[in-house]
Amino acid sequence: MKKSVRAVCFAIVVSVTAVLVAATFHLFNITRPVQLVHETTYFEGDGTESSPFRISSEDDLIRMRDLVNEGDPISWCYFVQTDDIDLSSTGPSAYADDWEPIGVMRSGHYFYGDYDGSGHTIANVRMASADCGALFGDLRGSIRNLGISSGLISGDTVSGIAYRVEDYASVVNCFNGATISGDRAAAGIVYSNLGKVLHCWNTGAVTCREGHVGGIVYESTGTALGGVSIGVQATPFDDVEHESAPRTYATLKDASEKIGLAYVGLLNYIVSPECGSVDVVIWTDGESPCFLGLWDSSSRFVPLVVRELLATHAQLVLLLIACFVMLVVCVSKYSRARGKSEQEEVPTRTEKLSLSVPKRTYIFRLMSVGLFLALLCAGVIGATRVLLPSQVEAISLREYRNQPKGSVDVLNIGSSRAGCSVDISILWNEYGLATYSMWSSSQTFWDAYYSIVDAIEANQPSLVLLEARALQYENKYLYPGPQLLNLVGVQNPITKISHVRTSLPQNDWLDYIFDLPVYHMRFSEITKEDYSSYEQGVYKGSLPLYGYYSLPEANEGSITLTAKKGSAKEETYLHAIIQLLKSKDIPLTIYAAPSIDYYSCQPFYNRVAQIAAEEGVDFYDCNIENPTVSFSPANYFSDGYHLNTTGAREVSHLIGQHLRSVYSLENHRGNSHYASWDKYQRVFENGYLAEITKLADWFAELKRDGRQLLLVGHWVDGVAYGSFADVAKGVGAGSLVPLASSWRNSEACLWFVDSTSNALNDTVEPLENYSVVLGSHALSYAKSSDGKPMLLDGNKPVLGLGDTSILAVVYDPTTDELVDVVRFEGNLASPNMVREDV
Amino acid sequence: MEIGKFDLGQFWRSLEPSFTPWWFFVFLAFALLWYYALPKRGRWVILLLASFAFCAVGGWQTVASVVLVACIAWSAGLAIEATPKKERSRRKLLLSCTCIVLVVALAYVKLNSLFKWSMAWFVVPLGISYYTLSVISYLADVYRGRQAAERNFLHMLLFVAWFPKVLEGPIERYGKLSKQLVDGNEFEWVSFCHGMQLALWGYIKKMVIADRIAVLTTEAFAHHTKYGGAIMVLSVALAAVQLYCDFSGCMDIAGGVSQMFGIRLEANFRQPFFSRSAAEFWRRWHVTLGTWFKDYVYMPLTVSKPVMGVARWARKHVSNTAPRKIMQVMPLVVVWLFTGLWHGTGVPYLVWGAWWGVLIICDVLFAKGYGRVASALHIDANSGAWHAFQAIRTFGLFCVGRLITLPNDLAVTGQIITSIATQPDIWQLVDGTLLNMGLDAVNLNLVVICIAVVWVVDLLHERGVCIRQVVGSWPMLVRDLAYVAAVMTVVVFGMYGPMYSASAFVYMQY
Repeated sequence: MKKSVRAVCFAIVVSVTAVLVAATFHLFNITRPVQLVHETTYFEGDGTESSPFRISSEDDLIRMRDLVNEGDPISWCYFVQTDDIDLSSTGPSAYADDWEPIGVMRSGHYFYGDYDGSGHTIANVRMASADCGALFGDLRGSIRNLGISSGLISGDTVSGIAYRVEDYASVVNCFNGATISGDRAAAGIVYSNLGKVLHCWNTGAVTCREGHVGGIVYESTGTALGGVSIGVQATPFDDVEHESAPRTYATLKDASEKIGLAYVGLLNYIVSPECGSVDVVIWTDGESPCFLGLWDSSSRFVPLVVRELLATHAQLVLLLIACFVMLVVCVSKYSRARGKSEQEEVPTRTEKLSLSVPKRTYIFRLMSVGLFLALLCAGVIGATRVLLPSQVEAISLREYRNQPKGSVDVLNIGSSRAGCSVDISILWNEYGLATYSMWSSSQTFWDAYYSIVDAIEANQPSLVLLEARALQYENKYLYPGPQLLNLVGVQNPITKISHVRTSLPQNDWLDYIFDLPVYHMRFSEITKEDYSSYEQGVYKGSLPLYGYYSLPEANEGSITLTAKKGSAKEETYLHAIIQLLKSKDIPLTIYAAPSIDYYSCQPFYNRVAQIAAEEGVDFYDCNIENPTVSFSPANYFSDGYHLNTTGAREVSHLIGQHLRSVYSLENHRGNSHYASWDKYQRVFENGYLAEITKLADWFAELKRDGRQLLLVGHWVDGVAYGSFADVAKGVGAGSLVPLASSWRNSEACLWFVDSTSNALNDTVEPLENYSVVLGSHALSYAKSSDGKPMLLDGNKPVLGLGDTSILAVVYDPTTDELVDVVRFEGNLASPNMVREDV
Repeated sequence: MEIGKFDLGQFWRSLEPSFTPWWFFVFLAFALLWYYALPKRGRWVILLLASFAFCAVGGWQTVASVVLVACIAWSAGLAIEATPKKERSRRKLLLSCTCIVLVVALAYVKLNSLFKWSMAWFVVPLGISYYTLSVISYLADVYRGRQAAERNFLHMLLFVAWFPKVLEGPIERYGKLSKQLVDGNEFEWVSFCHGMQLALWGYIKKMVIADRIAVLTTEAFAHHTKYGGAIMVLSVALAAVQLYCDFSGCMDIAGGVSQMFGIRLEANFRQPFFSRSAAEFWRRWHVTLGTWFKDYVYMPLTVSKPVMGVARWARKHVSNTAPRKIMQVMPLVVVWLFTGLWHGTGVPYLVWGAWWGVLIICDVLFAKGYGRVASALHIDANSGAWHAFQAIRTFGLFCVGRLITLPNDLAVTGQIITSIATQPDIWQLVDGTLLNMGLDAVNLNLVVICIAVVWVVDLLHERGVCIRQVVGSWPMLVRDLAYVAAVMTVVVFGMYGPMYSASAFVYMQY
């Protein structure tokens, strides 16, 4: 190849590399998520990794504990302990005999940050009769290099360092020397582990009155590695299925021999590379343990390792020295030998005859590469489309982009409660508000924030309706399943990367940014629905839920007015949403959907109300404004959390009225730009009818507008039909149903009703002769193979007729579809509604 | 705590030295770009840097051991060459000392993991078993004068650390590989495409087949008491296929990636499951290991003094045919002892070595007897059916070997064999037990289809069809479609990522 061409190629490669590296750095900068802000000035340091808050005394520790338990954002910060702390002092902040754990269920606030004991200890940790006792409560952050040197922790279920370690949380290099005494369960370090407990060790006496005992952890579904517990009679609960799981040994010497630890003089250490960085815990062989050195991804421990190496691995060191000596010898030999060998001509490799390749070939190759890339893109896009999770929540986020530009009046965003509480057809039909529900299950405020960023960019709504449930979530990260569904809707890659960085731990970032790695295994469960697409633009993200929640008795109690802070991350992102919408001049209404579980939700809703008041944002609490819905789960709820369609209608009226009263909103009904909402209305109502399982509701819904009803009767007892007609009359739909007198016993007959004109086509005929054409549907009667009568649509069986039953066919002339085919059977006064033959 | 903070240390620790994670593709793309962008003379520097980066991902232990081994080889090579040929004993001493040092170091790191002599961070450096052997072969060649000693230490380092082969071989010879590495290679379109195809096929074997079967076999061997003999037989057979797909897949990736740089690696597999005998199997399975043992252990031993001595004694005292058999069998015993130990430490591997050793020695000793029995039974040795029977028999023998080492505990092996003999529980294959072992029906069908495809491909290779050339000669559109289909197979059916499935997801938690 010519030199000039080579130079150009080289320049291109250099610049491509440079551009890619620069772009990566740039990407990191522009995708930096919104950060928490804390205002504490009590501690030295600023709470960052480089300058952590310094904890040096009992007062500091208690102050930190109290702030964490109040839900202060410092619970997300870095802390370092700079001195040994003794909790036995009797100052103003002294505690009697009960240390309250840092971050517990009772307070609802947890520790999410990083506590580095840096080899220091805490002495005299005393707890009496604690339900769930430990130095830290429900841990959601990390604790490193910390020891409890003495104390007595007693209670129901107790442990030393932390009571419970959540996913993503970790306890590394910690030890316990306090006595742990439980009633039902006890463990040296952690009671319940879902995250990581690494290289911890316990020398405290762990006893339990009636339950099991764990040397390091009591129960673990996470990772528990490299731990050693001395002198504890552990029962099998401690046994985690892993060969390096924590073990319990009678004595230190026994431990070191059995695990094969290096055991030299006074120095012992547990080392294991599983936790990423190499961590070393060193203790003395004496009675009381202490840290001599730690190696936590910094190199300050290296000299000690070398010393150890010398002491224990003389053979290896000798080998190294031998190699070095050999090298020196050889190099000296080599320099002598070199003079000779250089005279030998190394035969030059004969240049390969470069066959000249015609230019056309190059073009073909380029085309082939292009074709390959194009096909690959098509393949990846196709696979993504088919494999993308097809749960409704994922679709509701994605489909927003396909709404006609500028046609969304209200963007309803939040968890599944947002989806099921707002009936879009009510808001449209009665208030003329074009609403889109962009919900996803377990949606947090940070998910909502990025979804709004993405939505505004795609199609700016006139108003945002934010459901307030998310403040109650206390997790550092969401569970992977719901998190994925919350992520796949965001389209803008920059927003998506920020979203992923906010929502997941670093090691998961790439998988979720490219997201196909996360759900590609769905290929074994794809169904027809994954290929078929819904009508673009008509989908509005609603979540109609049918059925009724059966509570044993009506809900009672009153709604609390106290407020409770949410987790700092949720509050930060709630503020971020408010600021974002203010900057874009989009009005925001935050609302609390009716909740049966108001006893746990309401304090957080009240907190949202506080924040809304501070920020000057509209807030509407359905629990307070209309408690009837919240207090009548049997009528308005489909399960313990979600409203059914009846409840949704009720709430949508409230919200519609509220929005009308707060904002001056135009009624867009009849505006051609909003035609997709009319279309939606029709589709939704048809779908709605086909889901109703109560006769009264069914007739009430049927009344609403122009669909045609075909009734096929097949009965033995005219009286039974009469009661069916009575039910219809009872709900005001009497005109739709033929009178009882028209029926003749023991004969199958047909009526044709047009609900628009309310005209009754009284064409009673024997069923055998009957056939009717409704649009493209030719309905006729036939007998199935086992002699039972049934209705056919063309040649396709629709539904069978029972012995005493009435078959109702609802036809919608505007969409030309059989909206609903239902058989009323059993006692026709309160019949069963059957839609499918088994 | 900064939300979404990028921690470089954590990122670095999350990388794994393997061909399958995402970073390897980025790494490879950059290595290729830079390799072909530089002038030919400097290209090997890129290979060295890339290899170093790859080893560094494996941890400082890997880098240290690579540098150390290269250092020993380089200096010892020079030392042997510098010693005049007349001083034979000194040369021999140098060679044997170095080899002993290398073997002892290898044994040390391997036995360390077994007996836990030292600290846990002293993990087995990646691929040390492989490059130690190639370095020994280099030294032996230098000693024999077949190979000039390498003067440039960095060239030696590149030979040892060359990243496609550093993980699992093949065990290369210095003369063949080093020249290709050090001389820059011109970009050749056809060869590059062939390399890509080979690597893709390797990825399919590794990620789609081997890793998928692993789900089932891991479960079966972890809870072997739960399952009856029929499922265990199936699992052992699948484990054999898994090992083949895993190892040969890795070799294909290594070979393919190398070929993309214009460097040919030795073939390590020649359709081993079509072998007619144990001896033939080992000429087709892990070829470079077999030839290495043949060239550097078997041959020297055959002509070594002790063996010759015994042979001479046998000629006098036993019979005339005995010396030949002794010269064949005695080295085989040593070779299989070492082969067993090379594969893994512990008693199961010794037994495994003995198993293959005995099979192959029987082959050698009773070859004539087998022939006689076959002809007495009127078996046509060339018939397809007989060949098929022999191939299946060899596969069975291989499965038994796999059963010895896989549980890594002879007691468990015994239990499994007992359960196969006494409790077949055949119904477990159909009553849903099989479907509850981690692979659902769709995945199991996929395994069956994939094994069929691998079998067909191997059959075509056996018949001498070069599939890569055939695919290369297809029209552009068809060929590109085939490539994309292969990539998409890995992307969709490969076992990677967090394994999300909607069925594992609790609908609408809140």
